[in-house]
Amino acid sequence: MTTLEVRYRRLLRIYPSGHRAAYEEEMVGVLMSGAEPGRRFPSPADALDLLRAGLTARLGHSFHTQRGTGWRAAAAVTGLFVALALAGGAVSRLAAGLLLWGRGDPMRALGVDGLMLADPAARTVIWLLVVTAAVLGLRRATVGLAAAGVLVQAGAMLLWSAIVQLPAMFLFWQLGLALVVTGLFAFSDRPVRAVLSGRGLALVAAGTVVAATTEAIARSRAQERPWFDPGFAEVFWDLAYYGLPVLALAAAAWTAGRRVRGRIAVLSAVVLMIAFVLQALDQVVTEWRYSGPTAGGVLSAVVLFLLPFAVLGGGVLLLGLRERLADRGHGHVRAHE
Amino acid sequence: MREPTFLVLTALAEEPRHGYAVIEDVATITAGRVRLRAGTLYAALDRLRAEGLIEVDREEVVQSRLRRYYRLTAAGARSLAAETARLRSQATIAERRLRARAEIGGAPA
Repeated sequence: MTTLEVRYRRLLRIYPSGHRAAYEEEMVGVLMSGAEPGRRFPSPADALDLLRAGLTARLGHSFHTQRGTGWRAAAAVTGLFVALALAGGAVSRLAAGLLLWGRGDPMRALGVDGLMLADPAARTVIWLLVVTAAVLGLRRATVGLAAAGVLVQAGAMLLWSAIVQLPAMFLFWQLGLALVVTGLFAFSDRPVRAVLSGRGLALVAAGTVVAATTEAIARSRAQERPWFDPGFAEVFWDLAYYGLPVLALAAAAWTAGRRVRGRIAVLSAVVLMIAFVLQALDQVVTEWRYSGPTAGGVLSAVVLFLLPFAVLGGGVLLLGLRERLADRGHGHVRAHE
Repeated sequence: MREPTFLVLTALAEEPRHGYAVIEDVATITAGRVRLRAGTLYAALDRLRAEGLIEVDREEVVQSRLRRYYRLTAAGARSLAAETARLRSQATIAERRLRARAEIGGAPA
């Protein structure tokens, strides 16, 4: 093997293993046929072309070849899940407000009766509209409505900032999630019902009904004394409140197929981490407001900022490893097809 | 369809060819204007195989080097025909407009 061939083979390591297994010998032949006699180093133009094409093949292996059946499909489903969570939170707040209002509380704010209900009412309407548009498969309308949801969330923050006369940072995470939902729907390339089967959509509906029922029971039992052990009751209600709807959504995601459901899990984990980070940032900002920025505070903010990226990177890595193992198990290399 | 893809399909429309022969043929049909490099060529070949537009015809070992010959599939021929028609239609429009422009004495620069 000549020095030039060794160097070409070294350059070809930039390609994914499947591509190399399929084309390396052929490519070396082509590269050596095109090389002038006596050349010891690859020409810069060839080297750049191989680097560009190799990197594209690597990225393409992760993203391009799965476009439309992987991440974008998963984005549609994850967007629906997050929009449902935002709608659920808004409905819950509206129900609580309406109960108080029914008991005679005027829900007065800034001198206006009922103004405190405006925020959850507006959020309920917009996120239910987003969910409806997503389920009906109206992709552009869904993106537009989700963008309107961002404005509603920003309006809610402004309203509460005026009411409490401090920046309403406690709503910041919802604004962040509204932006994430809009991004997910804009990134998606197909309607949810094209990703989830009819059974999947039925499971989403079932999860929603369970969440609504447990919420209604929780509201009605708030005044009752449980006849059994309160500790056990809390665990039971926590499981019913979060566990059953989450299980139903997980089962719905399962119907999207192996490749997509893994991506839904990764994107959902990233969204959960974003929600956690935004709530934690609220605490960091609050501390800064009272004690000023500290080195520890800045470090916390940086680490928090990086956490969603770490979850995304870890998830993508795990998915890649799992799919590579599965492909090996089936003796499958795309480039050989 | 991007130009390298079109040229690779055109090279294979005549007869099955191996990678280096495709590079040589593309250089010939473009009068040396396009000289495909290995990275670009194999990116196109891999994609075209995945899309079913070309397939492996045969493999040979010449001077200890693997040569894999590719041929156009029926789908590849249809795709090349469609792209050729599209280019021809656009070229016709451009030609007609240029002729009309020449007939009215040309637009000011």
